[in-house]
Amino acid sequence: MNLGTRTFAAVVLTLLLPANHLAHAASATREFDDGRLWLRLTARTPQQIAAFYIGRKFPANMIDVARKQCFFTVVIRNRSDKIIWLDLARWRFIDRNADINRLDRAWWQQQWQRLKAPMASQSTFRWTLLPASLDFHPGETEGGNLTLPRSGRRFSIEALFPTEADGSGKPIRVRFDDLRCAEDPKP
Amino acid sequence: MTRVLGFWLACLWFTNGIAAPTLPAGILKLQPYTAPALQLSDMDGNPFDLRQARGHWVFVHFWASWCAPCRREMPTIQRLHEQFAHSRLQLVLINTAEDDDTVFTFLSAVAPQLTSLMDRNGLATERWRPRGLPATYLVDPQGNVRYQALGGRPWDQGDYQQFLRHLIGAGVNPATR
Repeated sequence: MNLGTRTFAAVVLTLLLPANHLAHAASATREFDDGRLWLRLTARTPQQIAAFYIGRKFPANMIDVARKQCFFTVVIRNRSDKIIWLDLARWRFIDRNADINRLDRAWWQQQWQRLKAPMASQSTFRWTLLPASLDFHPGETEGGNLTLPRSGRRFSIEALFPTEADGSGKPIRVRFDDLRCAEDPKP
Repeated sequence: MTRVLGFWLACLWFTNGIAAPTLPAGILKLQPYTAPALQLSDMDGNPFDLRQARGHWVFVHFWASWCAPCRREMPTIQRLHEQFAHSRLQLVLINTAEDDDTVFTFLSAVAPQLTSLMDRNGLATERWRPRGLPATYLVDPQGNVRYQALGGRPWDQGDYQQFLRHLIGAGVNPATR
């Protein structure tokens, strides 16, 4: 299917979707672009997460753990001519005035060790996570999943991206408000 | 006068002969370091050890079928394979942590001439510490990692081909680059 066909199909699908699905789709993806940094954040439903890892032949107990958490797929592109740093230690997840603790690689590792998860599945899971730290070179695009404890409450993400090779440049500030973990569609 | 002109023409020819082409987009020149160990087997059980590839430039490529940029890039690696057959560039693909069925199904549909080493538990990939998947490294004939590609690259396009041909070209000493 070429790009034109895909675009046409997307338009047709959009027109066919009921209004509540349109609202749901619109709120699931957010973008930031200041000409230097482009970032897209997409909330994933438990069904989407389960489908992806089932497709990768993950055991059921790993999928059960994953689908209970909150996943956002993040894609980041450095559109500038300088290094931009991703450093998840400089991201805050704010629920009203309290911070939410991100589920980091160590947390997931604990879960997989407890379940005696296959090494191959552990490796694949790690590669699907957003890197904890990465110096994005000009033109570079990378991405991965960001994971949080699942809750029904709205929250904000505030992220600082240091710039220059040594991180000493003025950081780029990105903020998304009114975020929610994506829920499975109601039957 | 003729001798002076001849001297400068010779200089021009010489510098053109050794000058590196501009690095294609997304290729990073690295401070050379010894390549991590890479001893794996392919789906048929044929073993490979990177140390046995000394004397050749090696295109070391880590990939997985679930990774969208890997899927887009793989056909360009197949064309690279066709264009650099019988050259001093050795292509080595490493699948990260997938099983034989998945790799066989994917490669037979997308790049049927390619075969891949199987990093069944993902540990060999971890040793190379890629920035993400896909990841491509260029290892020089002395076994040093010299270049890294950022994400997927269109390896069948002119500037990438020219760059790779320059690396492996006769008379070019990669150590001077």
